[in-house]
Amino acid sequence: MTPQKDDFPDWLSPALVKELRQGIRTRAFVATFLLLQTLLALMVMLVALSHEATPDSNTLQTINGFFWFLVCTQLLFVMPCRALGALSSEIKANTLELMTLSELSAWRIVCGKWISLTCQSLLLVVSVLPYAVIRYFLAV
Amino acid sequence: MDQDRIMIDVRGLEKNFGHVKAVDRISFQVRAGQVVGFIGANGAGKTTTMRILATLSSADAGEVKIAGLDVMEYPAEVRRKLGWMPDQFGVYDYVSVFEYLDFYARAYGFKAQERRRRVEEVMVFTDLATFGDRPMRGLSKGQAQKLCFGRTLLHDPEILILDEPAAGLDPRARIEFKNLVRILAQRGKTILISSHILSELGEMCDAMLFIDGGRLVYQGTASELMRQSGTEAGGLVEVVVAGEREKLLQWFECRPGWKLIRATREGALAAFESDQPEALAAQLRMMVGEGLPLVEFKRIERRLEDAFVDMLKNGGQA
Repeated sequence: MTPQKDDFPDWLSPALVKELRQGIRTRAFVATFLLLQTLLALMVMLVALSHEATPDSNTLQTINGFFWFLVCTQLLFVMPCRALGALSSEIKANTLELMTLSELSAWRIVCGKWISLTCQSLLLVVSVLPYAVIRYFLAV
Repeated sequence: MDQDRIMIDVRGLEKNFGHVKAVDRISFQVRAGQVVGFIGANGAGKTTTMRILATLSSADAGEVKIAGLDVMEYPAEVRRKLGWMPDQFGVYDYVSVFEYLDFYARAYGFKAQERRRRVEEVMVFTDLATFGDRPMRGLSKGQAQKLCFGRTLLHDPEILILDEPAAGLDPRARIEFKNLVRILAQRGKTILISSHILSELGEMCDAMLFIDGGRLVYQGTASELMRQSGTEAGGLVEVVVAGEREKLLQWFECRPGWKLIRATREGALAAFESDQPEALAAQLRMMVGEGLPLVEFKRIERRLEDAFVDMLKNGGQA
């Protein structure tokens, strides 16, 4: 038997535990996260290079706007879209009925999904912080 | 375990989908510790009936009790006593086998040590112990079925309702699955298992329910069905002759102890009152002695499927 680490405490909702385990492994989240990191890294490099060469306030403003556009798109569009499909994907996959047969109430299932998506959004926000700090020191 | 206790009690169950009568006033009982086969063609009403028993669907009429509890009035209590395995179930692509069972163990209220122990027990029982870290999307069909079966057993239910659990499995996996069901039956579980393959269930079921077009057309044991179709008491024989088929048919009609089942292209299929080799050999000698031009005289093992088809032709009995 493969020894399994008990990574989540008992007091957490089972639905939340399942969503946390599954949510950050999905292609949608991984692709979103990596794409965001790549674009932000490129943008910061661009800011650093353009800041040294020609400290043009218009260019920096544009880059600044693009930075916030990226972050807001993820938080206000991509994550809510994933939330919209959270229950329908369970229904399509024939997994929702089996969950309802357990002692999980509909409320706990929905809460677990919502909290999981909120945690993933927070993870995205935290991952953006280093770039925000760098922007501050670059005076963008 | 009280073997007289009725664990599944269905009376006058009806379910309609629009103008289609999916389940038409069926009634049956399953006692504690019984393994009952629920057999019917695709679309006969098996899954609809089982989903009502599993509290996933509501009936339009009739009464269903699981371990004495009405499924409509006490669904939560019924779900604790029941394990449901659907014929089609989804997988979580990015969740491992252990995590899947751990999730359901948490959902059923198991805590820490007890949860770990229970998940390990189920994984060992279903032979998935070495697949703990494998993601569900990496499982074969047979492994996924075992995993779903394991999930069904997690909360140690008294009653198991299994909808075509061996569908799509290779022969070895089917045998493994049948062994698991036998072990559970020996442990006193009450099991209602559906299939459209009679031979699969005939060996492991104490009783059988045949459903056709939403109606229960037979309930009883496999041997009772064979007797009712008129063949188990004797031997079934296929005879081929070189021409003169009419003479053969008349011979069967006139001879005592024989029942002509049907004429075939080159002979006939008939049942004799005894299936003993000596008795059949005597009949063969008699046929040859009376000048019948026999080419082939072959004893046929009667299949349960044949008995079922004959029973349907005769209008069924429930």
